[in-house]
Order: sequence, then C-alpha cells, then structure tokens
Amino acid sequence: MEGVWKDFRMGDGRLSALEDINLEIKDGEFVCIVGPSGCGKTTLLNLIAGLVKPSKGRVLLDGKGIEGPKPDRVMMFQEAALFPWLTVSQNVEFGLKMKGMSGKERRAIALGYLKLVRLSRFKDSNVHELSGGMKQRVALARALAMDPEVLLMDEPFAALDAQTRDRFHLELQQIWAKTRKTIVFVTHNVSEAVALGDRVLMLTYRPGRIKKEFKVDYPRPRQFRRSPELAGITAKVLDELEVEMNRAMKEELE
Amino acid sequence: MNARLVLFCLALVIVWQVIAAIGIWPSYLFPSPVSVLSSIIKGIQNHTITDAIVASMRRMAIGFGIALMSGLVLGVMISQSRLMADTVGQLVLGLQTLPSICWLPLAVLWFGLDEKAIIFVVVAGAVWSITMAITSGIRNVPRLIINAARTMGAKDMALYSEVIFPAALPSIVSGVRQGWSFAWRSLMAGELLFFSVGLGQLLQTGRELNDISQVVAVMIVIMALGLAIEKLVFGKIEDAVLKNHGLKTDAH
Repeated sequence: MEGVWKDFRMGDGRLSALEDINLEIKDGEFVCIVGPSGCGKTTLLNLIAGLVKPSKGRVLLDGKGIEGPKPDRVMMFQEAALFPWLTVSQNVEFGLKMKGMSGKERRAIALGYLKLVRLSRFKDSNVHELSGGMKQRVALARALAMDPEVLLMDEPFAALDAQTRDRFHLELQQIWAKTRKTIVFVTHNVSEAVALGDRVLMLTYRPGRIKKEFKVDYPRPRQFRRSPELAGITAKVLDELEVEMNRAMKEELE
Repeated sequence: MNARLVLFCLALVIVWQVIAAIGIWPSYLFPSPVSVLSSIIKGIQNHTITDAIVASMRRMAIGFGIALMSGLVLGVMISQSRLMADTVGQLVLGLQTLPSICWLPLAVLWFGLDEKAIIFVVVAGAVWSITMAITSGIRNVPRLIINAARTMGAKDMALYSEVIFPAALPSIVSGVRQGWSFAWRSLMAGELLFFSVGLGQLLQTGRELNDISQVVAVMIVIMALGLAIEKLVFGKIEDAVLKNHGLKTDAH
C-alpha cells in the first residue's frame, strides 16, 4: 500500500478513516493488525480486498493495482458468512464454481480442504446444523479452496469461545505452515495477534495511521499460554494500545 | 389434516343441517348441506363446475405468470438504486393500495369485454405485491453475504443467480404467495362482474336463478380451491425453502 488515504462521508462532513498508510507485506508473511475499535482496521482489509476504493494512494498486489474484488484475495469475516441454502461442500465449492470449474473437480478439491479443517464428515450437512466454530472452519476451507495469494481475515475468531479459539490458533498456524499463504489478520485481541503474526501493526484511533510495528520473532507453532516471551510482547503492545484507547475515549466524550 | 379439524368441520355441518331442518328460514334463503352437496355433485356431473374451474384456473395461470415475470423485472430494477426506490418504488406502493377491481373499467375500455380484460385485472392484483417482495428481498440480503461472494469472484449475473436470488428466496416466496391470494380475489371479483365462463360467473348465475344451493356450493368450491392451492402448493414451497435456509426446523 502506497500513501493510502480513505475517508467516508458522514453527515455533512467527512470522516477520515485512514491516513497515509504505507505498508508492504511480503509473500508468505503473516501480518496482524491491531488497534482500538473504529481505527479503520476493517477498512484496511476492505481496501486490500477491493471492496472499497482508496480516496488517495494505491493498493498494489505483485506490483499491479487492485481494481475491485478478485479471488486472488479472499476475505474471511467475523461471521462465517456461509450461504445457508447450500450444503457445506457446496459452500466450499462456491468460488471454484464461479471460476467455472466442473462439478467433479470442485467436489474433490472441496473435500480436500474439508479434510484439512477436519469437517469432511459434514460435507453434505446443512450449514445451520453446524456450531459457530464449525461454521468458521467451513469458511476457512472455503477461502483456502480458492487458493488465493492473500488471505484476509477480519476478526474471524472473535465470536468463538476461548477454547475453540485456542484450537483455531494452533490449527491456523499449522495450515499456514502447510499452505504458506500471505495472511493479513485483523483483530482487537492483542495476545491473538502476538501469537499468530510475524509482525503486529498497531493503528492509531481516527484517523488510522500505522503507529508502531512489533516484530514477533519466536518459533512456531506458538501457544500463547505456554510462553512468557509472547506475554512480554503482548504487554508492550497493550501499553501502547492503552495510550490510543485513552485518546479515543477522550475524543468520544468531547 | 388433523383430527381436531375434521371433528370441527363435521360439527359445523351437523349444526348447519339441524338449523336448516328446524326451518327458521325458508330453504330458498338457507339451503341445507345436503342440497348444497347435491348441487356440487350435479355441477360436476354436468360439467358446469368443472368447466368453470378450468376457465378460472387458466386465467389465474396466465395472469399470475405475467405478474410473476413483470414483478421480477420491476423488482430487480427498483432494487438497483435509491433513486428507483424513491420514485418507481413509491409508485408501486401507491398502486398496491388500489383495490385491483378498480382496474376493471379501465381494462374493459382498453381491451373490450374480453378475456384479456379479466387477465389484466388478475395481473394488476398480483404484480405490485410481487414487485415489492422482490425489491425488499433483494435489498435485505446481508451486505456480508454479498461481500463474501464478491471476494470469491461472483459478479454480475452470477452474483444474482447464485447468491442474491437464493438469499432473497424466503421473502420472495412469501411475497409471491401473497400475490397469488390477491390475484385470486381479483379474479373472482372480475368474473362476478363479467359474463364469461368461470367460477365467479357461476355464482352470479346462481343468484339469477334464485338457486341458493348453487350459490353456496360455488362459494365452497372457491374456498376449497383457494385453500388447496394455498396449503398444498405455496405452503409446501415455503416450507421447503425455509427448511433449506435453516429458518425452520422439522420439529415444530
């Protein structure tokens, strides 16, 4: 991202969501973005996804400008956003169908990714028969099935209970190790960001600017609760975040 | 059909028969169930009722088909932009409040005393509520679902056929069902005022012949037919769609 600005119309005025974002993410890197709510984390992802256009600046993938959404950048949301009228397997196949792949091929690929997220038994189930964690797994399989260059994750585990989330952290790291996708992961959960990311970026509150970058150089698979080092980094990020939160509070009260 | 309902209907018929047998009102004002039943049987045997059913259903099929297609086109158009919703959308809302039989004089002037005039009234009865259902169905598809589909490469026609329509289906189906019942009412009203074969006209003939048994018999036929289509066709479709979307479970 080169000098990206984004503002939104709000009433008569304009709300500046992101200001002068310069960010380079390397191939195969796992980057986490944290920041107080309302700092434009999701907007940043939407920009990369091509769901919104920057007001100024450029977003590039492999040197080429991004024009609208394309399946080389797949997004995962806080809610699984599965299609309830399709079965689990059909959901995973959806993007492949859009690519024009034949039914047989699609099903085979979908089954492969459902195995990866350990849900192959449920391939013919209806979406509404699954638990929240299972739905999010299907969403992950659906995203991976597209074989994207970049996987964009917008607080995908925020709605899950703590135990399920812990499992997911491990599994996601394993899957990442296997598939070597570039992942941009947005969360408000700092320990999650530190446990997962190679780098943790912190955005400021309104307008969102990149305030600080933390490198997390620690062997994987990481398990947060087993590692005092990760806790140490988390504490540093949290201190920084607190400053921002206080500023956000003040601004909102004014 | 459950046992309670059957018992209730049976009781109703018995009470009806008893009242008719006491003879508070003369039989030309208050027919007995037996005479109504024989009217129905007679009507089926000499084909007056069956012909009328066929004629009415044919009009329904044509009129409702046209309403469905044009409602689909209109609904998709209106859902495209705020501007369309604020202009054409409001017009549709206004037209929806107009009782559809009010279109009949206009239709007669346009098409003459012709089959087309009645079908026009049927279309006018159904098309607005179908349009509104399709518009609101499409507009209420969660942004999240559309964004998810777009990031996976769905666009243009495929976005509509694979995502937006399926997602909007539950509300579309219930709107179409409502459109059907409006169309059914419009048809009966139209046929009552109009002289060509049909159930509404058969009611009118009954009145002219002072044959109260026939009047009640045709009323029952109209009700039964409406109920059958409502329950067996639309009820089943709606059920299947809701279940498929996880909005309704088997146990209820």
